[in-house]
Amino acid sequence: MDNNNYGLEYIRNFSIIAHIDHGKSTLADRILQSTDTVAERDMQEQLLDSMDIERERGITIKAQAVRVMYTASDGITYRLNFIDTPGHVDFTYEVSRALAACEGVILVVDASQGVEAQTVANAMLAMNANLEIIPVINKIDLPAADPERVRGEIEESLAVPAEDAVLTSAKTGDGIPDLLEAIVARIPAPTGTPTTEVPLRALIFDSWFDEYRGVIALVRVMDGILSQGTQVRLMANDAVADVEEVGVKAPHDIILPALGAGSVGYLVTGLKDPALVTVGDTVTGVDNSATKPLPGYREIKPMVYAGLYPLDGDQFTDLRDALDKLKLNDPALEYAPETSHALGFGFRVGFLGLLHMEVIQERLEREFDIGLLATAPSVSYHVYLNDGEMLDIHSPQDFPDASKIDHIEEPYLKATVLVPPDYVGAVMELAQGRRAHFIDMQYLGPNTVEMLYEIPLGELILDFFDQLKSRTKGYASLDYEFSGYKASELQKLDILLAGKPVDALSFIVHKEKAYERGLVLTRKLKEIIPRQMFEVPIQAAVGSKVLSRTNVKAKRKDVLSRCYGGDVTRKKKLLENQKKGKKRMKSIGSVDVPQEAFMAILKVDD
Amino acid sequence: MANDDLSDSSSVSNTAFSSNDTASNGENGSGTDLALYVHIPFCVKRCNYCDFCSSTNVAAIEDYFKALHNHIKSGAWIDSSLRLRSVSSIYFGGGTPSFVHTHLISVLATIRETFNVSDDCEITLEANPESFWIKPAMELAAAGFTRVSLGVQSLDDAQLALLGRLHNVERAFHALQAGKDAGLRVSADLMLGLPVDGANTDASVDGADASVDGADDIGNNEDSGSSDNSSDADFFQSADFEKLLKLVEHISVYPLTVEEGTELQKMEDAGEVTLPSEDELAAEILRLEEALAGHGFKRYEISSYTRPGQESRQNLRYWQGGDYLGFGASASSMLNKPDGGRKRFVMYDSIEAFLDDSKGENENPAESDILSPEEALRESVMLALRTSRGAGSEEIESAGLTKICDELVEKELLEQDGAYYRCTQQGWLLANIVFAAVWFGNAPNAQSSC
Repeated sequence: MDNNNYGLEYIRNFSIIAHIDHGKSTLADRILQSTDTVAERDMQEQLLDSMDIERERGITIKAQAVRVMYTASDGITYRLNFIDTPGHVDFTYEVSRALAACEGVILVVDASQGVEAQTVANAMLAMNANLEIIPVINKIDLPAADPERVRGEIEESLAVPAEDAVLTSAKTGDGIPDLLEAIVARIPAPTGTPTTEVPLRALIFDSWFDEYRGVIALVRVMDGILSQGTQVRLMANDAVADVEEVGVKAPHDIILPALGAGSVGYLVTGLKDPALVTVGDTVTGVDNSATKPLPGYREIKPMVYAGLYPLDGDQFTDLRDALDKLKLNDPALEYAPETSHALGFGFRVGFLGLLHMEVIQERLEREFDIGLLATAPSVSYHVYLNDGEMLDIHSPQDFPDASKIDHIEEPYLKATVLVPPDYVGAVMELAQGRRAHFIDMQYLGPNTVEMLYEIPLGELILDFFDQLKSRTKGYASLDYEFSGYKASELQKLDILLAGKPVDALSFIVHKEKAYERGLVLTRKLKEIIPRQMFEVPIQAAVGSKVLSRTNVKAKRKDVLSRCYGGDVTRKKKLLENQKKGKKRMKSIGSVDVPQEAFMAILKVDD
Repeated sequence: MANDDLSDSSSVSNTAFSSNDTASNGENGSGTDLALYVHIPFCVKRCNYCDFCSSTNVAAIEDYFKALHNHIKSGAWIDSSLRLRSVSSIYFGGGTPSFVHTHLISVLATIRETFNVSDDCEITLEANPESFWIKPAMELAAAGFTRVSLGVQSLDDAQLALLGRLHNVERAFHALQAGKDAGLRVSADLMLGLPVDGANTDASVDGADASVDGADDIGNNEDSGSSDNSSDADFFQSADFEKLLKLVEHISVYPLTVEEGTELQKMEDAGEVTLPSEDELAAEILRLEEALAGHGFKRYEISSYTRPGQESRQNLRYWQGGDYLGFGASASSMLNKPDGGRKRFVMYDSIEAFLDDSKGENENPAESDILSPEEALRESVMLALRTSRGAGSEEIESAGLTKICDELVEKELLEQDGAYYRCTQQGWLLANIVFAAVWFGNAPNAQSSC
């Protein structure tokens, strides 16, 4: 039968949102299982998270869309399009685009933990998108479950009616039929006109590169029909593509002749340049073009830059090839070659945020087997020279001489912190230490305070999120958006090992923080850098002025005299293991520096 | 128990360096004599720091010795020409060989029947104080054993308990006396860098930390260096220490290392014990060496000290490139090849594997390490640098290591004395750097490629 001709009234598009660990992925697995979308034998945990890293870390990086066929109690078979979204602030924009493809969300709350900050932040996102919210109280099988209390919390802090909250246990499967019924009954059917008379408008909420088929996009058709064999235009990039194939994921691909308004599915473009197909863009027809794109498109730009260097200098070309490959599925990734005196040849790589950076680093090491050394992340500075010229500087080592600089601007964010009232003081203290300007604060309910700040991105990437979490016992949630460039009194701080500056350890710091950060960093480095054959002085300096110094003492003992029963082979293996340990370090001059040293600046508040 | 390292057995009549001339010159081929090592992997209880091949499953003992006899008599991997060579030293290591001393006597008899054991052969057993007293000592001596290496480890009852040893100091002295009374040459193993109870509460540990922190201050460029640990300094002048040195002619010293997966590692992780810092340990090694020198004990190998002429023949053999065969589970063997290369191998890597081939029919080693002639030359230099005589400059030249050794001299890790290069005081403490430089053929802290 032709699924495409399904009436709009039989379609439901929804997403699941939750605080971390409240059972989102298990619930998704259970929905796929109980609707027989996935056969029992093919079932594996976190089915929608297909990358190893996603499964291991329990995070979702890429959006996914799965079509589920469900025959409701009214006897009608509905098409449920379930869109899974990334859960991290680095990918907030992608989440907002994925939610824009839905009419409703399932808001999962743990029956014993209750409402937590991320529950609030996610619910806000859904409310702002005018989505129907179905509260689900999950993990009711736990002994500590208290659904009545949690119901109260949902109403109180989210202002979401919870008398009809669905009670589930994703673990035992309890309540899943009720949930499926609620999706059909409470989430509105999509609207739009599924005919060729109206201009096509489809929202791209994810895309990736397939070696054989070119760029593939996940789309939600808002108006008109997206038909195979036609030509479409991508409005933001003004690129034209052939619709080579359309279909739905269930979760395997089902090819369809067309996708009509209200539908969610995939689009095979055959385009070889992933940069042309960007999340948030609108797909329209070539002949019958829409005049206005769908709202909310934003160009994704890297926010954070770091140097990535192969530990083995011979792997530079491999690193380039690997980055080229990752870029195909991750247009947000940017990179350019960079040379460091200390580290040799590598790349300056731009990321959406720190999680994105970690994920890319891990994929490079794991999927491409490239040992990497990453330098501390920095941001993009606007450096104005005395002659009026502006330089966009991504790396501290590219900073011009201080005498040539007129002034420097750095990127600021508008940051929103949601936190229970008890932790307001802790957040203020942290924010103050990070040069954040307080903007506003308001009670969203008795349990939630919203605090608004303007904060330099350069401060936020210094372990801010982890600090926020640890100072608020994990309750605070953070969201932010770019707010613009502002002038700051910034300086480049250099680190000298054994008297020689190490370019890869330099960083940019506010004038008033230079002394303190220099002191903390030299102390951290002293802990990290192992003893060498000779004493190694570590100094922090601005220009020629030394702000602090300490020493790594000379090694006193390095001997393994055990050599049992003449087992010389074993002894040599020990030497080889020691040598391997050393390979994880970079020799800078005559000093062996471990990888962590380059990230030490991130731990300034420990 | 499985104690420490290499034990040592020494050459009786000759001084060690003259006993094996060919081998000591690092010439592969190493003369015609042979050493044997027999592994006895059984203990009453595993010590807290031990990760060697040993078992507390006493039920397997009978089977193990049956297999051992078979292997010694007719192991398929033993080339018959080896049986003609003069056996100049035999070492029974463990495990706790003294725990099964009557078995050792019968194994020795089997060796004598099937190998050409020389009249002046040095025959050592490793012993633990709790299973060594006058009766076994006399029996072993009567059977031809010439030497005992006792795992004394410490002269502090509290430390012995933390190590999980079954003996106390008093027991150790009884055992040492028994060895001496039976006419055996007596060696004692001592451990340095022993743990103290509890996490960082001990005054000496705190004191040392403070001195480290002192050097930490910004602007303070002075390395406050060796923190004098007065309690240990007292120990090396104590009556017990002097008593020990009167009973032995040979001492082996090992800095304790916390091995992966041992009880000690768990105790350290749980904060139940604290191990001394690198500085403290280095200072302790130096103090011990000084104390030993005061009693006429000189270092002849990185971890062995002796009165003149009492070196362990077996021990030196390992460093002088002589052939040896190892019997039993996890025992290693080394044979020089006619082309100048070497073969190091372990026939069975576990007790189970050894028992599975109880008749000794297997010819393929579980692990083997074949060295090319070039590698063998480098290895010879590395091993020779473990001895206080050092490595000869001709040998170093033929191994292509002169430049590296000269650099090590420049870094004051080696010194040159006539035709020999040997470790300096600093070199002994940083011996891994010396060995790695020689073995890998590059100087320490060489610039990595980038």
